[in-house]
Amino acid sequence: MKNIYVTSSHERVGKSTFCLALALRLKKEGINVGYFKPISDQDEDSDSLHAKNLLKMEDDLTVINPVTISQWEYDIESKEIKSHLKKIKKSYNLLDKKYDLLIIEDCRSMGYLSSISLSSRELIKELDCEVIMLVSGLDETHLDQFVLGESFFNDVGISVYGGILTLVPLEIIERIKELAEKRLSEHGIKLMGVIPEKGDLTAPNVEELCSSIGGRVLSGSSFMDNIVEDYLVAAMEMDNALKFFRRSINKAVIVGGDRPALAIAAMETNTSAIILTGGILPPTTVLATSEDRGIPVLLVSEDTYSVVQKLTQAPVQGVLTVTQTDRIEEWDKIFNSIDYKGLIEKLS
Amino acid sequence: MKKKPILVIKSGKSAAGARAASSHTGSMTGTNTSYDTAFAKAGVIRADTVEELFDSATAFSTQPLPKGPNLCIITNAGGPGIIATDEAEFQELRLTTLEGSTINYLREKLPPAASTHNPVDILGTGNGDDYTVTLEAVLKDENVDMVLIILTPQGMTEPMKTAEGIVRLHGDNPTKPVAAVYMGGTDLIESTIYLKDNGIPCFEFPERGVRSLSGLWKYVKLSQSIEKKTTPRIFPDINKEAVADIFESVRNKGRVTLLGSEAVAVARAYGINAPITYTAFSVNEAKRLATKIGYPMVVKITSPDITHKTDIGGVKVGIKNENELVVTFKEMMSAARKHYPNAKVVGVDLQQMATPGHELIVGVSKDPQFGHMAIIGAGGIYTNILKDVSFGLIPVSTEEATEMLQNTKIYQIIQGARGQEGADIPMIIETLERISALVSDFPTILDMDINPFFATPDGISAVDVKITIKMQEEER
Repeated sequence: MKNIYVTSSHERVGKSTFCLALALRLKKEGINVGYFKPISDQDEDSDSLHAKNLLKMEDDLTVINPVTISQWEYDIESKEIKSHLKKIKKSYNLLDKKYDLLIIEDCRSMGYLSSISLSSRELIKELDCEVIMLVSGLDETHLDQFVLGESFFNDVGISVYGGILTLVPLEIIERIKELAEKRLSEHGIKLMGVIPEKGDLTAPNVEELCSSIGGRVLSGSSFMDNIVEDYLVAAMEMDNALKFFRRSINKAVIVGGDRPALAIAAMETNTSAIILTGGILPPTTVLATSEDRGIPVLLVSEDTYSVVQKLTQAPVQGVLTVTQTDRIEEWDKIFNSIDYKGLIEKLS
Repeated sequence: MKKKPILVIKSGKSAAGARAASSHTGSMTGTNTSYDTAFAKAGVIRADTVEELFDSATAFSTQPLPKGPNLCIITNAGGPGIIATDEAEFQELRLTTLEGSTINYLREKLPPAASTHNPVDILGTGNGDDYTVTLEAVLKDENVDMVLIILTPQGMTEPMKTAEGIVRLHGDNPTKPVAAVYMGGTDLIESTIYLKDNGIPCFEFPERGVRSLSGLWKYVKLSQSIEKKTTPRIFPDINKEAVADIFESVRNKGRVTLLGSEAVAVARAYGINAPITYTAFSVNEAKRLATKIGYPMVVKITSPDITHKTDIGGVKVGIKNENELVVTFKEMMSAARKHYPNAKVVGVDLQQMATPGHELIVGVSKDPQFGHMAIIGAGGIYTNILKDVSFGLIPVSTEEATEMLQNTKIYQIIQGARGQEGADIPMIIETLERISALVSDFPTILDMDINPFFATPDGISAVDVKITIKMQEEER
């Protein structure tokens, strides 16, 4: 059996979660599935770690992810490149023998490390695999990425098996799907499926958010698995607060610790967490309300602006871990509408 | 009719006070307006101060209810009489015109310099007899519903004799409420106690005396208004299923705010006249849908994330042909990308042109304490500046909707002020009632605004409808 190489046009299209969810689905179908990430841009790659735990792989992390090349290592010597390739092949051979099928995940996106000839297309040529490409389906213009990506691989004689649109807003999903099928078939690209932008698939929960911003949980600790799909800075007049809060759902509300009334107003609406800034402790009534409504209150020492900047520069993403049983279940449902059976048949 | 009046003092009226109340209780307090509205609907009298609460309670516990708002003031000092007159007007009491016979009688009995018109000034020389003669006469006057007696200690003043006279005359005429103001500190303690012991509310200052009487009248008014209010109207021509379907489809798309075309469809399903609106996702679709609507038309940007569309040029009226439509579509998309780079822009709403008229707002917002609150008043882009709106608790009956509209300033204008055309007032009232029916059937609606809706002599047209619903029914 050949393996599946998952690449993407850009970062942050939900590739890691997709890889793990696909692996879990195939495992459920009785296939002995392993995960392989040839190159990572960080030591102790977290995706590999999650995969190792989720798929119960006994292999060493250095086998699952043999090579790390960060963006500060573009001055790498060519002999080192060769040694990296050797390491990758060695790990690959080990895992390929052990598992029926490997899900191989790209680092960042298809073009990463192209200038040092270690991008996805150099790796794919060394490995025995079919290629799936993920592209964000935020709007119509992203369809171009499929065509661009296909020629990126075709240039070196690699054919892409099919593509998947991810993070497609529910509002336009039907239209985008119809349009993608039409346009991609004109370019001979198979659309395998469309994954909606849904909080329970990719949005972080309060636990993940809290660890990312370094918050202290003041109350509502039993509700840390609330999903966070949106962020809202509460700086409005009280009179207008409810109208604003009501328009956003599953949100984390960022509010100065000295404005407890706004926090209370936010808790009247569909809110997942309150982030109190400035290190100012709220009145106990706020904490009692938080427990009552099932909305955790997190305290951070930074001011509101810094928290917003942090969240904008490095958006928190939800990942698949062993404890995320709800999220795993949601992903499993998604695969009912993704055409991957043909690929598995082709592989075997 | 309720038998026992309820008086309430509600703190947290100012913004800062509301914040403090909210932090203190840990729950969101309703707005000041919502409390006023709810109290009015329940027939509860709201006191502004603790003093007023007790002063009103004193009047309620000893005096009968007045038949009308007509107050007569009797005084022996001009200044306090005028202060009481001012306060009476502020408290919406009427300084009555005494009957001619009463005026003539007082002219005979009182010194020539005395004022025999209301407020009746018996002068600083007035004694106990002057007070009792005057009080007796005005209590008999058909134009008088209640009396306030003001006494200041002067040369000839007889506080105790006057007090005895008031007690006796009130006993003889127990159907008209009476209150006294004894402004003289320690000199008047004995007579003040005598009045109070004998069931006559007595205060040190004129304003308090007026407010105690006005509390009685407010209660009468509230009770009358509650009696008038019938049950909400039932509309047989509504389509509940259509609305339920729209809400379900909106939730399935992960949204809680409706697109323009969806909100218009909800309004139309409840018989509210709104111009047909379609949402177009692409330029080609817009061209196709335009043939269904016909030119000229209105084009509006459609995005759940952009609420003030006009601010970014997201509303164009009078699009005359396909070329203009294509240009407008593209311009709006560029503007949205420039001003709201992260907004989800769905496309544009194409809408039939409506006949412009008076711009009104009608809507509903869910108050955390009292539930759905209806609003009606002057609409358009200056709604927040004009603040000419009136509120009512859902459900609203025809009478309540009418009263709400009458409480706004724009009501004078839509009747046809200064030669302008008026508006179809019954239809405006019916629109409010239909919204009340919609929200009663679908409490899942958290906020709904029709702003503006055009009101002309021939009817109304809801040109911009906004609705926010709950994601889950169990949400608060």
